[in-house]
Amino acid sequence: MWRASLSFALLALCLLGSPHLARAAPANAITVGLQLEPPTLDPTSGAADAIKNVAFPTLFEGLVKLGPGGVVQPLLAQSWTVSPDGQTYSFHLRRGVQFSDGEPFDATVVKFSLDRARAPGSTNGQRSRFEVIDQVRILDPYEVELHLKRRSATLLQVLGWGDAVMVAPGSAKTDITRPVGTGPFVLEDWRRGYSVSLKRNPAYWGRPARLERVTFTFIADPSAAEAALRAGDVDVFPNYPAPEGLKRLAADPRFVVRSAPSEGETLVALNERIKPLADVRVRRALAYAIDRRAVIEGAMYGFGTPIGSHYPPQDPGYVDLTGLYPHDPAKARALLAQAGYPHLGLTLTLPPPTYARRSGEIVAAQLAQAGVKVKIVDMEWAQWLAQVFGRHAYDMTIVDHVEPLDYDIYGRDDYYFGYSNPRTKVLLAAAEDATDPARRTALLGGIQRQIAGDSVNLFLFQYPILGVWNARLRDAWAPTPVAILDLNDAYVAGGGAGDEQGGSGATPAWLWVLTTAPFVLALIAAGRRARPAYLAGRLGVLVGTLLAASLVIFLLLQIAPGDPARYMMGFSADPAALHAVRLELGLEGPAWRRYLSWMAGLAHGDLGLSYTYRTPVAALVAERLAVSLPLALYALVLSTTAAFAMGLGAAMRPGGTVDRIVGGLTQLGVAVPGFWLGMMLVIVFAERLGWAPAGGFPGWAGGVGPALGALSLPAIALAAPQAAVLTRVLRGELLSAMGADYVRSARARGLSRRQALIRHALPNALGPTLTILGLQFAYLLAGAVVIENVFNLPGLGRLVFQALAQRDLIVVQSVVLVLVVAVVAVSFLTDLAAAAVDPRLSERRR
Amino acid sequence: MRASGNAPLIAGAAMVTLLIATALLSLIWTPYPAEAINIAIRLAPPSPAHLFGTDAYGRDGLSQAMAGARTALLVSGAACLLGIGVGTPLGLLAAARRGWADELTMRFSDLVFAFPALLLAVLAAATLGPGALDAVIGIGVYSIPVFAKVVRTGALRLWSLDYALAARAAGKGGLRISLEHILPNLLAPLAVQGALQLSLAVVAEAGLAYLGLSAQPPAPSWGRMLADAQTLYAQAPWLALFPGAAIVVAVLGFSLLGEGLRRRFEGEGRA
Repeated sequence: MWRASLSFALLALCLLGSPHLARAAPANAITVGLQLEPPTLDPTSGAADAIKNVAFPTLFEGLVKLGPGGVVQPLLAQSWTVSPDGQTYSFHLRRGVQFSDGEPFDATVVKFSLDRARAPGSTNGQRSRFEVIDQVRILDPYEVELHLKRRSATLLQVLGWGDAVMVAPGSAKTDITRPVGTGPFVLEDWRRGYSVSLKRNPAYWGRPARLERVTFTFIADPSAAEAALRAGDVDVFPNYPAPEGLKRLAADPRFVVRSAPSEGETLVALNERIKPLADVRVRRALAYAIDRRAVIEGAMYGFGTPIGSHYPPQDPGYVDLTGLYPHDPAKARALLAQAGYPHLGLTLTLPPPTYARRSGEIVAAQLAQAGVKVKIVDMEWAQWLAQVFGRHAYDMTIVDHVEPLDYDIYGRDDYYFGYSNPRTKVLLAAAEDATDPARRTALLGGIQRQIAGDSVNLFLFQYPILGVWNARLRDAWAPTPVAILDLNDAYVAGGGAGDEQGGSGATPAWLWVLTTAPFVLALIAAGRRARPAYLAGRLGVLVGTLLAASLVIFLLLQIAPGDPARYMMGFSADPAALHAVRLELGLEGPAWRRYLSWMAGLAHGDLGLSYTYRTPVAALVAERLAVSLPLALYALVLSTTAAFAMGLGAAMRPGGTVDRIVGGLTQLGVAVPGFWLGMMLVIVFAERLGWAPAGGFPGWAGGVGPALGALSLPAIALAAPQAAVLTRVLRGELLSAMGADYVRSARARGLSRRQALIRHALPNALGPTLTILGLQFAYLLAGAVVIENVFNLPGLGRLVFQALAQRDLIVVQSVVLVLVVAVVAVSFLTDLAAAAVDPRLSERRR
Repeated sequence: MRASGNAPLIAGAAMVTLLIATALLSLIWTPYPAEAINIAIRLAPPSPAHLFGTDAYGRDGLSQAMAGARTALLVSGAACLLGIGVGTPLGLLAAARRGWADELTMRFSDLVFAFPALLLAVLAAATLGPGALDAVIGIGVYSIPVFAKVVRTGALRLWSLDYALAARAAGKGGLRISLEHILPNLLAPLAVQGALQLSLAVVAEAGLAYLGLSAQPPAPSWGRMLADAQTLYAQAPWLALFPGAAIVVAVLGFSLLGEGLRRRFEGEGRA
C-alpha cells in the first residue's frame, strides 16, 4: 500500500513542481497568435495569406502603403505622378533606405522587384496583376517610370499589397528562409511548426518600432487560442479563430475585443460546369433557400455582415443586394420543381477553416429544408486546392475570398466556379479602364448587380476580422485592406507579458543521454548473453521490415491526391509558376527514381528538405522530438510507477479489497480513451482550477519547470490507459510466478508472501512486462497524435498530421519512416533485453 | 467469486445490448431529429427537454449521441470484420502450410505493427480522403495480424491433436481439415478476440473522428462531437462529457464481454 501512496505523492509533486512561473520578459516584447504558419517568409514567393501576416509590412515594404479604407499613402516612394493618359506612373524614391543586410534601396531594386514579379517563371501569387506593366524604366537612381499596356484603375492599390514588396537582387533567392527587407523588423528565429520571432531593426530608415521583439506563434486550434490568451502566452490575436468565446473575453477587463470588416467575401461557390448548377433558375432557387442571418449567427456567433454579391460593404461603390433573394424555402422548393429538379442531390465540399465547416453544416440544413439533399465532404487544403480549385471536381464549396479587388475572377472562364457571361466581362474591362471615380462607381455597381442577378454563387457574409488583445497592448489595432495590426506603432503599457521565446528549441543533451543509455546497455547485455544466430535473425527481420515499410509509405503517398506545389502557390497561381515550383521541389520525374533518390539520401542520413519550410527534415524532427521524447518518458515514468504500485498491491492478496479496486480501475483505465481523459483534465485542472496550462508548449529555454508543467496533463492522459494495461500484465505474471514450484518451496521455507513476491516473483515477471513497456514507449513516442491535438503540443505525431495537410510529402515520408524505425528498433531492443533477462527466450525461438 | 457467476459476461452483454438497441432505435426514433439545426436554442444546458443539452447549432445532444452509436458500431464492426475476414484465412494457412506461409504471415504482422497505431489510418485518410472508409481500413488492417496470430496459435495446437492427424490419415487435404475441423474449434477464441478488438476499434474510431478522419458530417459521431466541444469547454462542459461517457460505455461493454467470454470458454475447457 505504501507504494501506491508513494506514487500518488510523486504524481502530486509533478503537478506542484510546475506552477505558472512569472516569466521575466523584456519590456515591449509581444507574442502574436496566428492560426496558420507561413510556409516561407517571402511575401512574393506564393499566395499564402499566412506569409503576409508575418512578413508584411514588418520585414518587407512596398513602394506605397494602404491606409485605413484603402487610401494609398507614400512609403518607399515619397511621391508619384500619373500621366494624363493614365498609362505612365513616375515614382520618386525615398533616399537613405537600406535593406537589413546593408544593400541600398534604389531604382535598380524597384526595377528588379517588379520585373521579377511579372517574369514568366515567377512564383508571385499575384503575378497576373503585374502583367499590365509593360516596362519599368530607371530615370535616375531615385526615380523610376512604370509604363502600362493599358490604363489600370487598381495598379496603385496593388502596389500596396504584400505581393508587390521590394526585394534586393542579392538576397531575393534566399528570402524564403532568410528574409532581407527594408522593414522595421528583422528575423530573429524561426522554430518550424511553432513560432517566428522578429526583432527591431536598429537601422530602419523611418521611426524605429516601439516594440523590441514580436513573436508570432501558431495556434491552429481555436480552443487553444483562448487558453493561450488567458495564460498570457499570447498578447494579441489579430484574427481570433473562435467567435464563440468573444462575449466572455469582451466582459473581461484584461482584454480588448474589436471587430473590423475584412476584404473577404464568404460564399457558397457553385460549380457551373455541372448540369443542375449550370441552370440559373436552380442557382436562384438555392439562393432563396439560404438564411444568411442564421448562418452568421450559427457559424460566426453574430459577427459578420450579410452580403448579396461579391463586394465588401466598406469599399466605395458598394450596392446592398441582400434583399434580392429573401429567405423563402417554399419558394426555393417550387422554383426547383419548375426547373425540373424536384429531388436535387448535391455534395458540399468543405475546406478546413472553422468558418467553412460551421457554415457548411448550417447551409446543408437550410438546403435540406428546400428539399435539396446535401452530402458534406470535409477536405484538407491541399486536397481542396487540387480537387476543387484545380480540377473543378465538386458541386458546392464554401470559402472566404480574402483578396481585395478580386471581383475580376468573374471574368475568368477557367476559374473554379466556371462562370462565363460576356456582359460581365464587358463591365469588368470598362471598370478597370475607368479612372474617373463617378464612372467607376457606376460600373462597379453594375458588376455587383450582374453577378447577383446571375446568382453565380450563394453569397453569405463579409468575413469579420476579430481582434482580441491584452489591454496593456496599445496602438496595435489598425485594420487596412492588407494588414490588421500596426506593429510599428504598437507598444506595451508597463512591460510585455508573453515573451517566453528566445533561444533554440533544441533538446537538452541530458535528455538524449537519458534515452539512449538504457538501449545501449540492453544491447550490450543481450549481446553477451543471447546467441549470435538469434541476434542475426532478428536483425534481418528488422531490416526487411524497414524496407517494406518504406515502400508502403512511398506508394501510399504517391497515390494520395493533392499537389505540394499547388498547396504552396494557392488560389491564383498560374501553370508556369506551378511548374517552376515543382521543378524546384524535385517533384518531376518518374516515381521509382524519386524513391531511389529518397532512399539514397536516407542511407547518407539525409532525410530530405521540407517542401513547405525548405529546411532539412532532420531539423524539424529534432525540434519536435524535444517535445515528444520528454512527453513519452514522462508518461512512461508515470505509468510504470502506477502499474508497479497497483500490480504489486493487487498481487499481494488476489481477490482482496485492493485487488478488486485495482481490477475496477484497470477495467476503467482501458475503457477511457486517453484523449477524452485529457479533455476532462483540461476542464477540471486548467479551466476550473487553473493549476496547469490548458495547452501549448513554452519550450525548454524558459526553464524545466514551465515545460514540465505544460507536459503534466498530457502525460497523465497518455499514461492512464498504458498503466491499466501494464498493471494487468504485471499482476497476471506475478500471480503465475507465485504459483510456480520454486516460489511455493520458498514460501514453505518460511518466506513471507511479500518477500516471495518481491524477491522471486517480481524478477520473473519483469521479462514480459518489459516487452509491453517497449511497445508502449514506441506508441507513446509516435501514437500521441490525438493527445498532441487536444493539448496543442508541437510533437512528432502532429508534425506528420500537419505535413500531410500541407502535402509536405517528403516530411510525411521521412518522419513516418523515422517513427517506424523507432518502433521496430525499440521492439528489437526490448526483445534483446527480455532475452538478456531470460536467456531461454533466445533458445525457444525458431 | 464462482458463486457470483460470470459477472463480466453479464455486465458486458447488457452494455453491448443497450448499445446495439440504442443504435437500432436511433434509426426509427430519436427525441429530436439528430441533424436538425436550431440556432435559437444553442448551447442549452442539460434539462428535461434536452437531457444531454444542445450543441453549438442547437442540435439535441441525446439524439446526436444515439445516432453516434450507429457510426461507432458500423465503423468498428466493419473494421473487425475486415480483420477477421483476412486474418482468419491467413492464420489457417500459416498453421496448415507452416514454412513460407507461416513466415510470410509473421513478417506481414511485423510490417503492420511497425506503424504506430493511428498513423496507418492517417495515411489511409491522405490517400482515400477522410471518411468512414479510411477509418475502417486503417483500423481493420491493424487488426488483421491480431486475428491471424490468434488463429495461427490455436490452429497449431489443434493440428497436433489426434483428430487432425486422423483426418489427415483419412486423406483429407489441408484446406478441408482447416475448414471442417480446425476453424469450428477456433470460434471461441475468435469471439473473445473479436469483442476485445471491437473495444479497441471504438476508441480508435473516436480518435480518428476527433481528428476529422472518420465518418463525415452531418452523420453524428462521438469523436467529432468531442472535437466540437473543445472550443466550448468554458460555456458548455457537458458537450465534452456525454459523448465521452458514451465511448466509455461502449468500450467497457465490449471489453467486459470479451473478458466474460474468455472466462466462460476457459471454464468449459477445464470442465
